[in-house]
Amino acid sequence: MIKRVFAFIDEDAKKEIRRNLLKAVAIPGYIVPFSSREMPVARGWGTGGLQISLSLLQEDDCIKVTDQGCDGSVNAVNIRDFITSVSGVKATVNTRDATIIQTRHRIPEHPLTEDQILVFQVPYPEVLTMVEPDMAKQKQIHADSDYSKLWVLLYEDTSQYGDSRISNRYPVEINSHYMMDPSPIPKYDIARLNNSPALQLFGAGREKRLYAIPPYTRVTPLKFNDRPFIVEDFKGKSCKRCGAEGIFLDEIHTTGSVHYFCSDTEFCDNKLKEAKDAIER
Amino acid sequence: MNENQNAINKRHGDIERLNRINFRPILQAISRPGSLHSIEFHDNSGILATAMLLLYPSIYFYSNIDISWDLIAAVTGASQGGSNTADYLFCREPCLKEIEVAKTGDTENPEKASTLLIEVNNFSSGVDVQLSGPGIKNMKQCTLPISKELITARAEKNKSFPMGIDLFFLSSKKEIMGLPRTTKVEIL
Repeated sequence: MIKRVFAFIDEDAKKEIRRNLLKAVAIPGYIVPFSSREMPVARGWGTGGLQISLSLLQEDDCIKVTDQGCDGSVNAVNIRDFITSVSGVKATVNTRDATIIQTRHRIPEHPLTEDQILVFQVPYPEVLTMVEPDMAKQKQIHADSDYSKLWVLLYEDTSQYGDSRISNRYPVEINSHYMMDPSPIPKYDIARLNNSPALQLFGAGREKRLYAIPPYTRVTPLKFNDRPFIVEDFKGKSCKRCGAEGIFLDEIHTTGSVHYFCSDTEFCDNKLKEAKDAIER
Repeated sequence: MNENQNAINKRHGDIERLNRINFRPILQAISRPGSLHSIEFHDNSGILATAMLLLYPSIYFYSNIDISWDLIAAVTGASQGGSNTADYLFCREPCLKEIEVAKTGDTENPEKASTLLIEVNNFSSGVDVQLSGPGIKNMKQCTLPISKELITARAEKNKSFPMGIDLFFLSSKKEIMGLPRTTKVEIL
């Protein structure tokens, strides 16, 4: 009789991931190495987040997988289908119903709760790659908590261009200690990492690294005190489909015109549904 | 033969199920210091249940609790080590010596520090404290079921972040509380 393993990964592999997750939460922002297993998804396509999700799953969980705010992208659909097929857990696109949310490059618009865990897929976990390519030196910089090279980069950008040129993967300081790569989320989402009620876990399968931000933890972007942290500006713009304002929008260029749509498709669908329900009432 | 294999598979399946049930409360406990979370026991023991969850072949463990660890070692593949080399220390008070010698990792590898799992009677008696730090919204007041000496010894171990030790407390009422190295404890 062939024994079927719950959630694909064998028990010892799960134990190693779980042990490293506990360490990652205990040392917020610190990158913990782990022996990333082969998954039936190419490395770099969400295997880190996938391994974390599979190690967390219980039978009564409800999983949401989203890719840059879209639940219907090929990456999100395939990962969601894979998770449900190997575990039998329920899947949802509704942020409010999910207990575990695996995401690539966005934080859902709907506010998260203490009962939820947000799992980020991370392509490059090391925040220092842009200023220090040597991995041994990167480790030493983190050990010394000496991030002067990042500050120099910020100073050079600020003096030459008026602001940092980093558009995503913006460096953040966790609990006034480690500098961390928040994965390629837009600047708009950086402030939403701060003091989140939900536990936030980050997995990089190709790079064999994971890290975490516990709930209610101070997360601040790398910024000089006298300079504001400027995020993407959508002032005066709204979603062409649902009319939402003040959220992160996708900019779609067509011949001769620019249109804006909600980046978070579930948020957009819900807003449309609420408007429709209000009319019917 | 098939019946034996089925029985072994069922036993493994039961342990794996127990592990995934217990991992979430342990993860929540270390994420939200000072809060209580329910776990399921293995053979009427929270210590054994967490040992089943946390131990695997490359891990060293230590215990000052008078129970047989041979079966746990055999099932998980983990090895017994000294209190100064173990990754996980399963303890009952008094465990001041264990805290004093437990690994704290180093600045480059703070994850190589020890985690102590301390068996306590309940969470209603002990030292009233105020907690602050990651995982805690503003401040949290609670009762730590250990002695003041142990709290002082823990503070001494954790004075050079990121080095330090992480603690869990397990009660006979199937509750678990976490205390990571980042949590600041003030005795009230």
